[in-house]
Amino acid sequence: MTALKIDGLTVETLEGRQVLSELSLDFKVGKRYAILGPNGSGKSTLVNAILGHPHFRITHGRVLLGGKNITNLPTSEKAKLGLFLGFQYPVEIDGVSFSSFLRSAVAHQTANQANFFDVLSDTKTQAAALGFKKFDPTRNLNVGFSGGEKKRSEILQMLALKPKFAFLDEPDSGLDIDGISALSKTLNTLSFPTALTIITHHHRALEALQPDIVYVIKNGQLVATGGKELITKVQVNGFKGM
Amino acid sequence: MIKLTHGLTEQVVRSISALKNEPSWMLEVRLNAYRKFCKMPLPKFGPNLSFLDFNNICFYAQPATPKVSNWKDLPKDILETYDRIGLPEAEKRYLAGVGAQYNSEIVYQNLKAEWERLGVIFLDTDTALKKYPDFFKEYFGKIVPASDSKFAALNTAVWSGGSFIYVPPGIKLNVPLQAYFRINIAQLGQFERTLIIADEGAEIHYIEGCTAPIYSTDLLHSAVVEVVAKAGARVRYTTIQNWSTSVVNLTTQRMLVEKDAIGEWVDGNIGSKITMKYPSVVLAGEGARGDILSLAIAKNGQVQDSGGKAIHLAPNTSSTIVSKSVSLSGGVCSYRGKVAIERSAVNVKTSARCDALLMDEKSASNTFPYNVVKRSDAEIAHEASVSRISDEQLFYLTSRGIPESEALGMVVNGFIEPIVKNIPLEYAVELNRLIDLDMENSVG
Repeated sequence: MTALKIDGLTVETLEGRQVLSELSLDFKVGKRYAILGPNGSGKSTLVNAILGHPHFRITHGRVLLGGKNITNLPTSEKAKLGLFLGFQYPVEIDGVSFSSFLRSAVAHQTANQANFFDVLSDTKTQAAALGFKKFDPTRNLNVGFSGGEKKRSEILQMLALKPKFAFLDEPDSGLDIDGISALSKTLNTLSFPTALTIITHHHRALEALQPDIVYVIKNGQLVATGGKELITKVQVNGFKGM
Repeated sequence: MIKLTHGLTEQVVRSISALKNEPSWMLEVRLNAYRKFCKMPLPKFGPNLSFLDFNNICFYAQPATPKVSNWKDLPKDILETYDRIGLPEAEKRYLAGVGAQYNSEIVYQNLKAEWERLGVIFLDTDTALKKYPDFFKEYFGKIVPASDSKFAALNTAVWSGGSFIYVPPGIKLNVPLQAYFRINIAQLGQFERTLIIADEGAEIHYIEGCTAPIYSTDLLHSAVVEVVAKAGARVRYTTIQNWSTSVVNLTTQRMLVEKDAIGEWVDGNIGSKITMKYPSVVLAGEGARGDILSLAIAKNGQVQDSGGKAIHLAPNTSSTIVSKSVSLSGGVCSYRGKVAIERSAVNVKTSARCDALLMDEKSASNTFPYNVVKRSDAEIAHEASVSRISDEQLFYLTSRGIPESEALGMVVNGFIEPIVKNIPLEYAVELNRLIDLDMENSVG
């Protein structure tokens, strides 16, 4: 199975503050991952830096996809290779409708040349399943969306793009209990093979997702790797002593 | 082909009038304007125009003269742009002034028959002056007098071409009139003079110019547009100019809006080296409304000095000005707006909103709002914003596989969408493509 390998990644902000130091971990298609860690430990930075966020600089290390170095590829190229980031705080874009944005995004997915009308029709069904009430694809992208609608919009984009490596940065924050269970149901019945990674602080989401592998990041370093038992350990002891 | 010698003298003005066989009163109007032009200074605001050498400008060339004689003589970037925005060959040639004019004969004939049946007059201004002199005696130079500015005086002295439109009372035209359809007349004159009269209760939408770049070898374009919207009438005037970037474009557009009438300007400036253009509404009758939508895009070496003016003279009048500007690769956009509320204008509502988008560090944006308010009961709103293209937005879009240049195009097209949705679809599509093309070039 294809793997995304993070090899000794050191990342700093543009101001030169180091956020991650020599972090190594990997993601395999078909497995589920959770990244845990205290606030400010570098979890979001990691997934943003992998995609090439302009506010971060990778000073050492590599991102390898199937053995190929993709560290410095443009963000759009990484996306075309199957990387996806579900944003913690999706930005609003005025004057660009959700549907025209999605059409462009789908058109650039050279791997699966789907008919956009089919995609949009699926998106509407999926929106209903996620509890996205009054989903209207002609609305401007994320503009005036509630917190929960923004999170659901990210999931809809993931479902349309069918990425091989999906990183969801706190997809459950801003969702109510029903929202979280609808999200879990959707994530547990994905129609495409993917390495699904979620960053979350909430036990409920982890419980529902049942990750195969759990990474714990603290102070920009990988401090523990394990299975589901790590979740329980964190539940009981917190991140102290890790 | 008749081309007068360069430079402007009283003799040149007399020759222009004689060549056109004009009535003597029009010659007098021209000569008076010429004298004003000589005395008046250049505008004291806006971009520096002191480089303009009036002795080196030709003030009259007979209409329909091809600007270039051979397709191959056109600059390469203009040809490429035509191809990229997918203009049909015939239209390209027409816009470029090469060969035959754009052949819309059949469409035109049908529309023409319909307009004639309704009593609508749609002619080039020179012909209209001969056929309908009374309209000219009543309105010519009344909305934009020669004394308005040096360039209004210049246009009045040397005007040639342009459109004349009269719509009879109560006639509502649901198809926009376009300069495109007024064939056999060069529409791309240097000193066009346009006069539009919408009689009581009439409705008309006039579209001038086009989004595709128009090659011009002329240094100076200085047009005057006068519009009268009589009681209960509604006039929308849409203009998109994309002159080649050697042109200085100094145009005066003003609309007199009478009782309960609505006057609308949709003004897009994407070409020229320098533009100075502030479409105005004079709200002269009770309940009159004026709306101005202004769009400016300035690239390297371009200055777009545009905006709008709303002059409230009567009670219960209202106006809105919405301006969107995009500056990139060192371009400069300046919004210049004026709202005046006279003592006679009770209970006025007016709002202005101008948003500027800066694409890079080299580019600039200025805002010059100017309010003259002589009443305390007016409701006045003004909002302005300047934003930089956000790297968070670009990251978001590119993280979905959309290449950076296309992502930039999406953000810019999204920014100007509130204006673009008001222009006819074929122009909107072309405009969006032009912006995508600019973004490709700016990313490199």
